[in-house]
Amino acid sequence: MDKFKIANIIPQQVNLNQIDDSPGPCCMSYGFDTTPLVDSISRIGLVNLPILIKKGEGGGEVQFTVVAGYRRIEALKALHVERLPCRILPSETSSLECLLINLYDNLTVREFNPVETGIALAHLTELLPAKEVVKSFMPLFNLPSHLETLHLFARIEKDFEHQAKGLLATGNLSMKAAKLLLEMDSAARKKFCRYFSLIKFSRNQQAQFIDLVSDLSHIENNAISGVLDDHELTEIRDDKHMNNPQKARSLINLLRTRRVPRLAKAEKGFRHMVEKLKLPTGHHITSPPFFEGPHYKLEISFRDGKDLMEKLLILVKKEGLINFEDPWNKGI
Amino acid sequence: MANFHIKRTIVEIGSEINPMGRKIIERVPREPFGKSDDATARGNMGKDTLHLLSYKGDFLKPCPGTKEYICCGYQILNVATNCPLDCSYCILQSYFLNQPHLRIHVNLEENLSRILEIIDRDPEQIVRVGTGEFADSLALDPLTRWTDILMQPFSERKNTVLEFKTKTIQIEGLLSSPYRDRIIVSWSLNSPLISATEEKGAATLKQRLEAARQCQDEGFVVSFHFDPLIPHKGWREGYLKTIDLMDQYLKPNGIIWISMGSLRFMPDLKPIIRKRHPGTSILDGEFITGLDGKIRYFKPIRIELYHFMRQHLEKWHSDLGLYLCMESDEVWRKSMGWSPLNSKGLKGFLDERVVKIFR
Repeated sequence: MDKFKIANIIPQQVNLNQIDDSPGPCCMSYGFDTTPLVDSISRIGLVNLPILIKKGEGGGEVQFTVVAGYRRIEALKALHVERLPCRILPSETSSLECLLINLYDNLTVREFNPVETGIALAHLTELLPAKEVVKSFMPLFNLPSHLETLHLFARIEKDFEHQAKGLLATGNLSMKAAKLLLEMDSAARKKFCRYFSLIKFSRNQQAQFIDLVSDLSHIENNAISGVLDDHELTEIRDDKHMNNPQKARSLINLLRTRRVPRLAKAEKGFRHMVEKLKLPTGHHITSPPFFEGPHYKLEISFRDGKDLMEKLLILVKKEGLINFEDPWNKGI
Repeated sequence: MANFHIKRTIVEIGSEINPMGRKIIERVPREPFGKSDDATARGNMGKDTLHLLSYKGDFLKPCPGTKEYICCGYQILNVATNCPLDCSYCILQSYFLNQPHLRIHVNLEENLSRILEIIDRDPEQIVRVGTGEFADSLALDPLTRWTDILMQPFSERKNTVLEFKTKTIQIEGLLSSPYRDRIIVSWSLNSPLISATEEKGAATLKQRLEAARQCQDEGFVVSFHFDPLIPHKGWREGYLKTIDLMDQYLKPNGIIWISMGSLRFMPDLKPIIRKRHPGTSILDGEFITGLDGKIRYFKPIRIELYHFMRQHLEKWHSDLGLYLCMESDEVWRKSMGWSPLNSKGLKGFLDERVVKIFR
């Protein structure tokens, strides 16, 4: 298409009811909020005109499909506007040209969320060879030019249910967690999404939660929904007295106790040993991560050399220090 | 050939005129040569496709141990990558995710002199070499005849040993060779349950031990690797059964070493295992993240496994050259009753075994 062709199209007034209500085959928007656009249009009016294309025969009153500007049209509907100026593309404009108009129109003004990226890449793959999409278009989304990454986003668009897409689009589901959820059936995914919509886990916690539940599902030969419906988990999820971080931590801890019982027991034993030592304030003992390394760490806060010496003297006289040992060692 | 079939052969340009490549092409039982199609190869890692190519890197490289754990100082002879067997726990599934097919490095022969030059550089230094890290050493030997290429030059050197590590019974090439000195034939072993359920395409335990017996009878030094040890329901009885079978089939004094290692893997392997082997139970254990970033069993579980194996293997014979693969000084002491302290110490221990067994 000529570079100035769109700019040269003379805007036409179109009734809103003449425009197809659906987002149309080019739309790449998902999970958006029209409020800022409504606010903007009500203050300064419509700056960029939507681009439409004439529909085929038999549309009745509806004559146009949206090529670009679906959000603006939704905002105008919210403002009860009845007529708006639009640019109408020539009917012979190809599907690929329409798609690229939408893509570049959006790319220049905003970032795509992962669901929108999936939609865009899926649309492009329908019209272009996958290799070309990988090479020429994935860098536009700051994605590595890998076929696997293309498949990942395409699967998000194809397989994710509305709730999962919504969580991902709003940043309430991490890509790492999304990747794990893709490997599950729809019922299991929906169960996880219910947890993630009720409790705000950190990104790492989300992945850990999914991993723990799916491991336990294998080990206990129980469906994922069975593990997630366990009353101990749902009680924490629905507890009215705990806040979000507390719930997330409690759920992870509960699952870890079941998934790695010996490690969880050793951690508990370690905490118990440290408590029994009754260390003075400012003393802190930490275990090596997962007890894998051989050394524990003692941290002492002190004011000066004299203070340190006094604290060390108290420490060496501590009863029970000699019995401090690997908590996992018992029973071997 | 064993329980696998080559359905397709890909020959990279130049490999068809290479002598080794030409011989392999002549030996391939089926004809269909075709273009590479990596997309279809991803699911099965291209295990039915033979891919002949020239390897551009160094053929001889030290085993990529990590400083956090004690490594044996092994040298890997990189003759091929990927393997026709399909063990659920295999780390090659993530190592070679983007390099499918059974890749045979057909420029091995022309690089042999360079490999031997490295070994000859210091005649006092014992170089333990193996071909079984990135591939099974013998699974494809009927096609590649690595045994023809490698046995003589290694056999003629006093400061080296060559270990063929396998889970197959492809020992024809070995047995038909006149060379025995400095050659070690090695089998990976596991419990009967793990062998039967997690080592798809591999020979049965009894077949492996029968092949080992044949090799011993034919004058070969043998070794074994219990790696990965995997705690599973009835693991004690299972591993005892394997040790019993070893007793039935083998002469223990002809064993140069038996290594033990427990299941460990980089985190990216887990989803691959889940996807490729959905029924597996190997991921059910109590894992932690090790000091090298690999997932491994919680320390007391590893100590228990090794201690149990050591106790029963030593009951069978007191001088088996038992050692641990990639473990810490602490785990060595608590499970084996001694420690080589560091990688240098372990290398020294195994080099002494070489001197003792091959004299």
